[in-house]
Amino acid sequence: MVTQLLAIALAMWSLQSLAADSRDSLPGLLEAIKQARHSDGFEVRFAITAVDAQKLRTVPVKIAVIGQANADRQRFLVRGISPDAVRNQHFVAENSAAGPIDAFEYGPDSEGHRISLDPFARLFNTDFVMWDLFAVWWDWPHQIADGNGEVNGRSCLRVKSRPAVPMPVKEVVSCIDRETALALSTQVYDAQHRLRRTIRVEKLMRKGSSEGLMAKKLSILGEHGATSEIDVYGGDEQYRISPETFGVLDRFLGKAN
Amino acid sequence: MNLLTLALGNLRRRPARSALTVSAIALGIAAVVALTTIAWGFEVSWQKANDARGTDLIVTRTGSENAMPSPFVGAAVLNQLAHYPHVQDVAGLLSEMLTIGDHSPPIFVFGWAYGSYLWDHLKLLQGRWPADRNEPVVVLGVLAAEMLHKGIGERIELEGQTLEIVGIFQSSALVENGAVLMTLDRAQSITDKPNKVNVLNVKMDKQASEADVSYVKEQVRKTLTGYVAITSGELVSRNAVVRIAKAMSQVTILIASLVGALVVFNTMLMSINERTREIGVLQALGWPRSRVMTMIICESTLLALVGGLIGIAVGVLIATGLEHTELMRGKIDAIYSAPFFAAVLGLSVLLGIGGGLFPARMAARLSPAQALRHE
Repeated sequence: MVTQLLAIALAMWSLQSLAADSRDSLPGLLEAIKQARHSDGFEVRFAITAVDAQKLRTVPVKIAVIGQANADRQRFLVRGISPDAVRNQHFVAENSAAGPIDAFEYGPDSEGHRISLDPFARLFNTDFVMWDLFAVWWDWPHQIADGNGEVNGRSCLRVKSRPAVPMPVKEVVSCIDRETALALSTQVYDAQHRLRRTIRVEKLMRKGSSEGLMAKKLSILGEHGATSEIDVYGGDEQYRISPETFGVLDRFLGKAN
Repeated sequence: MNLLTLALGNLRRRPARSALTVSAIALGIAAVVALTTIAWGFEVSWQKANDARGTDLIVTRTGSENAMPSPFVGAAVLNQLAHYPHVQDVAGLLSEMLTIGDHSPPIFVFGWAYGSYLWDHLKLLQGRWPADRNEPVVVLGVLAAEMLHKGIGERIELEGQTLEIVGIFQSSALVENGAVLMTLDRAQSITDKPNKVNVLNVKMDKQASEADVSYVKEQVRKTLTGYVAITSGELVSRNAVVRIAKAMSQVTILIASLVGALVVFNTMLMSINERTREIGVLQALGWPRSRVMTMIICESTLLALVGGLIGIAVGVLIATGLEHTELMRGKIDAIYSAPFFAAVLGLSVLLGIGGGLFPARMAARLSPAQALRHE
């Protein structure tokens, strides 16, 4: 009995060690990042405050993002909560197995239209860009480790991601915390290799349902010194996706009954 | 002239140095008082809120250490709990910290199961309670109404939904007085968490003994994988924020004690150095070593005691000020107690004695001849 327990403990320790070791190699770390993004359903609510170059702050815009992601498909629903100008504005998008992203915009009456998910299209007059949610750069063929970096005192591995074909985004440079497989900073460069935005995790918090960490505060530094501060104030790590959640998306895509 | 008046006189001879020493001790003690009363107050105000509701056990997810435990679908767990012996009522609760309007600080928003015992301890001051489980209305705690400048009939916007205020209530728990309250169904709708709760509150019947409560805890552990039944005190003491606040208060006590003792030590050492000839004269006049030592320790203790008294007053002022800041109002309830203040004064006296002991021994060991030769 004792021998069996010891064997189980040893096996578990070996598995944990293997998981930790696998993150030491770039392919292992990339796999861990992709795995960490998988979810049967989550909801996150955050308030975005835009701060212009003169440090003037706008009224916070509250947004809810519902998502579901696995190896075959990612889909996200972005809903404006407040103020009135953004309330019940919906953006919904889906991509499957590295295919194109189908995106739609609709209002409270569920009537809407297809939109192009531009990597530089800001939503709700903030620096929030829905394209970033898909993190498609992790599927790009060129992934290059570029030394160690540091974000807010946490060390991380810089990874440069480049697409195989010319795209509006030429390169994304991320700094990954090996322990959590979380991108502590993400820099997006356009086709002319101009830095268009830098997303930084400013504060982390412990996940409610596991030992992992997640972002509590983020900032998006835009081109002209303007910043958007993102404060995650609520959500549900095990959000139950109902048929209605992405019902409008399914209807737009012709999947609905 | 007795030793006390002599010690006081000696301290008055160097008013600036004595005042600086007292200030340093007072600052350290003030930090100890402010942090400790707030750390305890945070814990107690949450426990009071749970106790006031009459909850005997709280069922939540295992390992939830956030201020708000992770939400879970409550129905299946609730049904099972309701069948345990002596369980009188099980009520779901959903809570969030949300901002109301564009510029207000975050405020606690509670959703309580409609018609459950959770509502019974509240005193309705104005208006009425929600009429049914889905009515889009809220009731405000008396402090929340004051902070939001809102009254009956007015509306508030929460997560994009507009809700009418139909009542103002008072609770014995500060956390509840500073909260917005609505039915659980309404809270689930507003936060898009259908059928979810943060915790399930279990009320046992009057015949239930400690053993019955323990039995329910044990049954939850055995049969509801991933859930735990704990008392409100256990829930609060496991809370990460409470643990951090307590750890910070303990570190502050340690640092303040070390700094305080060093300041007293330094002051008394300087004082003895300046008064070497005077101590020699006292010894030549027949003062025993023990009396010289007592005089020096009396001086250091007086310094620390005055610093402690001022520190307590300043600490209470800081804690009270923090309680009334916009961000913290209605969330913390600093706890002041005579035994705590006595302990802080005791700590001050210990600092005085500890810091003065070595200089006092040095002074007592001087021979009168050596001391009188000192320039």
